[in-house]
Amino acid sequence: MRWCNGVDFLFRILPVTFLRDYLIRFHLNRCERCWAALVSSDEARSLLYSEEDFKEEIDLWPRVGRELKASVPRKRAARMPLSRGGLLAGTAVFLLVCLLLVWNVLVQEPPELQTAEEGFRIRSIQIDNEPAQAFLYQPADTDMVFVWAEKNKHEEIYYE
Amino acid sequence: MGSEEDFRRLMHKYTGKAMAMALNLLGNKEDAEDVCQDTFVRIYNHLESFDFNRNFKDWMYAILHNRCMDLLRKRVRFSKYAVYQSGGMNENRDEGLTTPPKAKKLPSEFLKRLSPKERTALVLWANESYSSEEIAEVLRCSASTARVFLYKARKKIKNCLEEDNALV
Repeated sequence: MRWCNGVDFLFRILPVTFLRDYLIRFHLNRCERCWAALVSSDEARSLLYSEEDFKEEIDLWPRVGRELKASVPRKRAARMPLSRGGLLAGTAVFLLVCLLLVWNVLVQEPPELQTAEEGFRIRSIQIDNEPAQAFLYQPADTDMVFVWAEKNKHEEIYYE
Repeated sequence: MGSEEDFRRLMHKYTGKAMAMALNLLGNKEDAEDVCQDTFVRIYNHLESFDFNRNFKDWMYAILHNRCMDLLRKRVRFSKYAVYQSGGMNENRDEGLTTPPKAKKLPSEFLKRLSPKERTALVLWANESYSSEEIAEVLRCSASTARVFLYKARKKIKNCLEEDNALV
């Protein structure tokens, strides 16, 4: 009795399957007292649904047959191999895209920025009727040109 | 692959077994029919991959068990969603076990106490007299694990019956 309780306690606390299996095989399935604590196959069978309950009643064939007929075209479509032409065209497009990417990233250099001095020419700048110094700024990637002028009493700046 | 007529005969032979297993696992006749239908369609579509050294019934039960497990998982997800939607009003809902429409044999309260794998082990053992090794084949686990599932199921059902008798 004590031994059975001990085994039952061990079975409850042991989380390891093979140790539980060992207890089942070497005690729980052999000990009459422990065996009596389990439902017998006859008892269980009387409680469960069995094949006999459905033998005449259920005919699943109409549903299954319909589903099979519907699934055949789907199956064929899924198994249809990719045509040779399609495979070649796909590969060609893929290679073309790769080439374009490589050319765009590696080969094509960014357009050179035009310096303000090359694009514009100021013959003279005067402030208060006197020649002044002029500075030209062109921000990168824009067409804008800023002209900065400063008084210069001694020089007159000409740009060619 | 055989003809549809051959398959129909095969299906007719195993429909009862499949339905019994599905209903014992799911507790709902409509779901059991759906799962059986899906199982037979899968069997038909994969007959060419069937290993003829293997027992057909084991193979069918393995597929059926997996389909039932999928459905039970879906039910758990749906019931969680339903509880969330209703603000916890459905807390008493079980994992999808509803009272079977036919004459009730095993009360769903009893079945709820078993995990799906324990239910499968019990059904195979009681209805088909499967050994632990054969149950393991269906459950895709070791024979030791199958034995533990079966032992726990038998003990839980016995406890349920004793509690039920004590109440009566």
